Amino acid sequence: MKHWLVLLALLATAHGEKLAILQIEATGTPAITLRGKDARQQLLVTGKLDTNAERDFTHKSSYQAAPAGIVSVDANGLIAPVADGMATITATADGVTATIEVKVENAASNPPVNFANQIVPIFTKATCNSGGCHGKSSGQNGFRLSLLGFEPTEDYEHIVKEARGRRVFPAAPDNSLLLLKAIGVVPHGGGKRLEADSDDYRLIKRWISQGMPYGAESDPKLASVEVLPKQRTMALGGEQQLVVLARFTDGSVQDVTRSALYEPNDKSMGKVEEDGRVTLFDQPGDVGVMVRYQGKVAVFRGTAPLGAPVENLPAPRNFIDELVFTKLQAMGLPPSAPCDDAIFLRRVNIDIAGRLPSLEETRRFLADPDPAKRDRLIDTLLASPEYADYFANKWSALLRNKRNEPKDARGTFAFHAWIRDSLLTNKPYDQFAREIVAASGDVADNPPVAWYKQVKEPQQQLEDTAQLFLGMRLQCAQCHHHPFEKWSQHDYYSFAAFFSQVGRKGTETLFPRRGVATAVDKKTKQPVKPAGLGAAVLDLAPDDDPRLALADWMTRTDNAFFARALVNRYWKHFFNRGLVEPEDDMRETNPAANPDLLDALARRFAENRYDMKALIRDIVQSRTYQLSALPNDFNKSDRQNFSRYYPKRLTAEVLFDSVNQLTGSQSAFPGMPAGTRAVALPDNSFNAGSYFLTVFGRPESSSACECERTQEASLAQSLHLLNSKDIQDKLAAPTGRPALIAADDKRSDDDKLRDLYAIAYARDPAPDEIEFCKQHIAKKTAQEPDAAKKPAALRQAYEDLVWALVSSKEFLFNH
Amino acid sequence: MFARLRFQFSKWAALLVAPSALADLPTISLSSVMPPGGKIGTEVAITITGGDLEEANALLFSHPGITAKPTAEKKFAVTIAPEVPVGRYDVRLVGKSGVSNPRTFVVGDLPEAVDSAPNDKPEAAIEVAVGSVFNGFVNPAASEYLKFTAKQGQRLFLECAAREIDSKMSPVLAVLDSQGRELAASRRDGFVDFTAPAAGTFLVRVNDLTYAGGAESYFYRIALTSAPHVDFVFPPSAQPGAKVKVTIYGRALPGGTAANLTAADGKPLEKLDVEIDVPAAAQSQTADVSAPASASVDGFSYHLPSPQGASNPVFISLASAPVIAEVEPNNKAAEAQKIAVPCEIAGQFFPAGDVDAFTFDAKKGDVFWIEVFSQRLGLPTNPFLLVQREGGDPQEVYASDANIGGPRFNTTTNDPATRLEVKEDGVYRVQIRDLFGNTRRNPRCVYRLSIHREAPDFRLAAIIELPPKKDDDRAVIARAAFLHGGETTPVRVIAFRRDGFAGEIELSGDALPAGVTCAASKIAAGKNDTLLLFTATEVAARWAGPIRVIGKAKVGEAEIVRDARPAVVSWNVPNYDNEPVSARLTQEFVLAVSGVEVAPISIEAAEDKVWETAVGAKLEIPLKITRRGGFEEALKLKAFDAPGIEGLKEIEVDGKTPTATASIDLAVVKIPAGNYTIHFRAQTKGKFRDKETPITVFSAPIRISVK
Repeated sequence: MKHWLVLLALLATAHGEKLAILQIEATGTPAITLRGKDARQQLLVTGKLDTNAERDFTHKSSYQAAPAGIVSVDANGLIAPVADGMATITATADGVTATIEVKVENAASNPPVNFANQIVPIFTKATCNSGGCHGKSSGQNGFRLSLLGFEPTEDYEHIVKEARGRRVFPAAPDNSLLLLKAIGVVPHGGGKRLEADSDDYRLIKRWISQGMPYGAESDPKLASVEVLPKQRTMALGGEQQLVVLARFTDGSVQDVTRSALYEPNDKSMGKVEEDGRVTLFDQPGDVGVMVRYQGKVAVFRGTAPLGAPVENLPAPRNFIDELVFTKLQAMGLPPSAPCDDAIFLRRVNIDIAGRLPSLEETRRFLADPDPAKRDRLIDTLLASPEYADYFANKWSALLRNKRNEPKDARGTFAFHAWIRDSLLTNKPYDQFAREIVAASGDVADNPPVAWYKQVKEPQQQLEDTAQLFLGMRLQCAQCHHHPFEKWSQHDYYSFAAFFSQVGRKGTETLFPRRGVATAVDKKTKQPVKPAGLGAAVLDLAPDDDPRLALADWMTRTDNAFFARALVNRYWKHFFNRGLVEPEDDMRETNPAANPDLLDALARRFAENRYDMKALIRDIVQSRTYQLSALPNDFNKSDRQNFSRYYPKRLTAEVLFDSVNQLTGSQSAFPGMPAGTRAVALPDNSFNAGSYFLTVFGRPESSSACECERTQEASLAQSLHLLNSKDIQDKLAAPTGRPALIAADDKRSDDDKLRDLYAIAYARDPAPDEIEFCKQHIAKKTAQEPDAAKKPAALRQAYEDLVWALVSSKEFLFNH
Repeated sequence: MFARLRFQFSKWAALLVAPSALADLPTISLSSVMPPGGKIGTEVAITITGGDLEEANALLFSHPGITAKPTAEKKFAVTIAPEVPVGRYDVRLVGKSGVSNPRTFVVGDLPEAVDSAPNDKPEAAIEVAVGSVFNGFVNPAASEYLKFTAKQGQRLFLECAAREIDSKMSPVLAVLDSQGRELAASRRDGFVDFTAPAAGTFLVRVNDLTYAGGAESYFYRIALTSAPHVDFVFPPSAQPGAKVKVTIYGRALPGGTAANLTAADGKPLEKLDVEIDVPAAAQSQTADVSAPASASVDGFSYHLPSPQGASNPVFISLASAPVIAEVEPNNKAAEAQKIAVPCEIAGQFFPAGDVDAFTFDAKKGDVFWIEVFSQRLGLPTNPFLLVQREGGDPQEVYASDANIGGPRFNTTTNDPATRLEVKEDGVYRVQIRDLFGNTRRNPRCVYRLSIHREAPDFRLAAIIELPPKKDDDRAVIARAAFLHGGETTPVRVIAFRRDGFAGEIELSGDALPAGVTCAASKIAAGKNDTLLLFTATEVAARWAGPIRVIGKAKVGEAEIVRDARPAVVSWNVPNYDNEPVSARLTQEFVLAVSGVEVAPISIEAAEDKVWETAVGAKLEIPLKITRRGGFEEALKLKAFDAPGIEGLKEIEVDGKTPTATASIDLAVVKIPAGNYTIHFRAQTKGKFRDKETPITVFSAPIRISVK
């Protein structure tokens, strides 16, 4: 923290940061037109500094309008019409000025209010129609609104016609229950939502006084929303006013900055006020601000560079490094140093093969003078059966390879073996996905059918497919327009139609039933034909298996989701953070930390014919992956730019196997050969009998979400490592490593300790570590006066040391 | 721990609990034969395991050239005569408690070895010579290891038989190099095509898919061979009694040429034209296609000979008409292949998503049956038909879900069949595809599409299966037909009706031993099954051997006679909802007569005659009940096997009285006019061989005639 303060001070004084040019933007056009009494426009004032950096001056400028009486401008740069005419607004900051022309038309007119375009957004902004309030399907205290205002016709019914019409009172609009509750005059469970003197209040009142018009069929409809600016480099702790424009079907544009909703994708990076003002905290990085307005979304990306000098970058190994280093340079975020061979060996073994390197492998690798030895190691690991075991374990959970009852075992073993074989033979990912999504036959003959055994309903099938293979969470769109997304119920049911022809014989046999694929849109009650997300509707013949059409669409090289979802998922596997986070929520409003890198990875993956091993090779060969986990003076708080390796706790299975490896014990999973590694288990059924696997978060294969695996630390985990019978038995086993090395009188303690460190950490112990351990051995044996019991004391000492290694962070983490 | 207990329990339940808790009088059973095969012209020492093994001192093989004599308890010396052809045969164990269920015994032409030492670790791998067969078993929660030596580039096949030889094992094989890396593997069909990347010793890891195991039920045979391997034959059928040319697709075929096809395991296939003699008629008397539904398919087995030994067997079925091969491209309606009907088309569901379309001219009044044979040939397919008049609405034909065999002998097939009654002259189109074939590239998936004039017919299967004791009884017991003196035992006969045949089928037993009778019975018109009752006299002599069950039916003026295909359940299953039932066709229907023990209770009509009555009248049948000691409980007799007779009240008989009267008031129990063979059943228990034994007593059959 101390470094930080010094640094910020340095940065502030190092640059002059003098304002050079000021510019008023608002709608992206050189002039502004305000039409009607309700029109408002937020100004956006941008200053260019002498350093060429752009900064927001909206709230640092003073405003004047001339001539007076045409428009009013408040201190926040919000302009409102007063009378028809032309005016010039001048913004002044630090003695620099900028101007913009404003034209006001129909300033006195009160055009009929449009319920859907003007009233519903007020409920949304005031969160009246949120899922926790009147927006939930049962409503709140008898008053129901559609969730987030996606169904204005229903809202109109509820407000105007329900409750015998007492919610609105056109004869005395101020006495309408709707308004009385909103301003808290009548007791309201949701408290006060509107100010009595606000524009929103006045607008609702006027709507009521107009006799609650719904609006004409010919009234323009909302087409899209746009946020200005789209992207900006900001100062640490800086702020940025956003302007949100709604574009309507008639071409008109309206400022909805104050009606829109804002949400940052990383709340540790910054916050957004209700009026669209973004404030960053003192942390370098990127933040995406999702802007929502009536079911339409847009996103602003703010970047706050640290601005430290980035020197001594390693030479890029591949495109990953080029794109990561470009970003680091732009951010002024110097990366950590490259990691040493020992760290790399342990790290890449765990990440590719899910295991610690053996003692022999460690010795051989560290002694190998070949400069290309890291590449050779990568290739060896990718060719190993352990690679297939480890990634089959990952996919088996995501593909819900779950044993619900003993008789499921034939299916779960077969499906796991199929996944593992696919990985071992490096089956192209598009083929892998196709064989699952379009699986037909009997589980015994075609194991991917097991996926359909677990994922039974068409809804689950489409949701899992979208989340797993496309990185899209469509669950919400089943019942309502996805609030953070562009996907509607129509999109949802069009996607569901791909799964409408799945026929079954019993539970384990599946076939495509002949017929025209359609699904009924729950909202319109109309049948819809299959369509990929954002893709054209498909006209399939009754003989076509729609799932094949889905697989065709997904695996086209220009599919916007398929390759990106996989590379992001794998990136997270290796870096402990997705380029998009969470890795399976890749909606437009959740931008990638490094969009160019995500694009490049996806492009290369598709060009490489979806070669999963090649993708992994690219990732782990990169200098970026091979950076040290130890932070330098600048990147300790970096969580998204990959300026260092982010350590991660070993997964339940890898930790289980590693403890066995270090303590020299063997697993005994029921029904499996003794010594079966936990990463090679075929399904979830072994969790129930293994407290270790459960407490360290091995998933139950119940969902397509990686989040089912819990990587959090818990007290129960610590206690298990510290004083469980399970671990104590492993340490104290007569055939265990501590007993064997204690009994070995041919070798020195130094050599034995070197072995233990090599197994646990893939490195040699430092001299002080050796010294510390030897002191413990000496103390333990000295404490035992009986010579006959000395060997037992020595064994106890070694058990203690192995125990300490098992409990150490260096062991528990991949770093 | 809990999970482990549960799994173990289910395993024990399958082996032990079921027979003792549910079985009737003790019946000998055969679990394993080790080795389950031998080489032609040799003597093989075998060891058997089973249950109720008192005086189990004879083996009965389904080929007279295979004989055995006992050498010690559970041990036999089996002699395989030089003239016995390569193939799979049934072996049964004979003892005091009758004749057992069959197990498969394979006769081969390679030297054989038997699992002789623990080999569950790579270090303890057992060496197998190239060109030999290894017989072994897997233990639970373990893999077994074998090893072999090969030269660089040497191509070898591992052919593992398990299900085919009645084992419960689903074999998983992997060939490993010295570092334990998998070089080749097979998880589904037990076949590995391996080419040694370098000279050296290679390990073979063998395990059950779910690591289940046990010497008595998880046994296997692995041939390590360079003999040819046949993937499939095209066409897959041939007309009976002819010399025909077929093309064999496979590997290491002597004189074979590249087929430009890739098998499902990614290996290239070769092809070879051969001429074969097709038997004149065969009712599928082969062990190689033995699934219950295949009882309706006629065919024979073929092995391709070679200096390295015979190939694996391949099934060739008998065609219903001259065989025409499909000609691609024929995927689209516009490309439909023109054919003349009746005919039989041989085709392939290949490549992935293949559709084959055919058109033919038909005249008003023609009645055709369009039937597909593919899954019943032992292939993992699910054929689907679209039948339509050009320009008309298509008729979708999925396979029927009908399971006439019931849960203990599931005869459901994926092969569809439909009747086409031509209403107008015109061009008709049949389109076929495999609903399982959308993502699969497997050239083995062939089909026969038979379009023939309606020719009603039937096939029969005779299943040794006791009727369930209770409605919710889901147990399945592997057993054979066994009669004590004075006992009656039922055999279930089911009919596979073809081309809409709905008539009555008369059933009878044939080649019965002295002292055993079988009351003629019938499968009623429109019905698919019945029980056929076999009864031994009290003094019938000890015997074990094959008998025949014959069905006759009138189709128009003609009489059709069919031998029933015998069938058995291979393993006891405590609950068929939780475990698949392994049932199969066998080569012989074997019956045993005790000759030394008598049934504890016999029930029969006082007179052997046809009991005549009339619709609405009363019928009184005096019954004779003979108790032979140990079974003193009162009985409740329930009547079976005439329409409506289930409504008859149970007849109560006390534990002493040797007579009873069955009073049937036909005004209440409305049995329609006709001739019936009825019987009574009672469940009771008593001491047999000094052990409390629950039994179901079947009365001798009683013939009634209702006018």
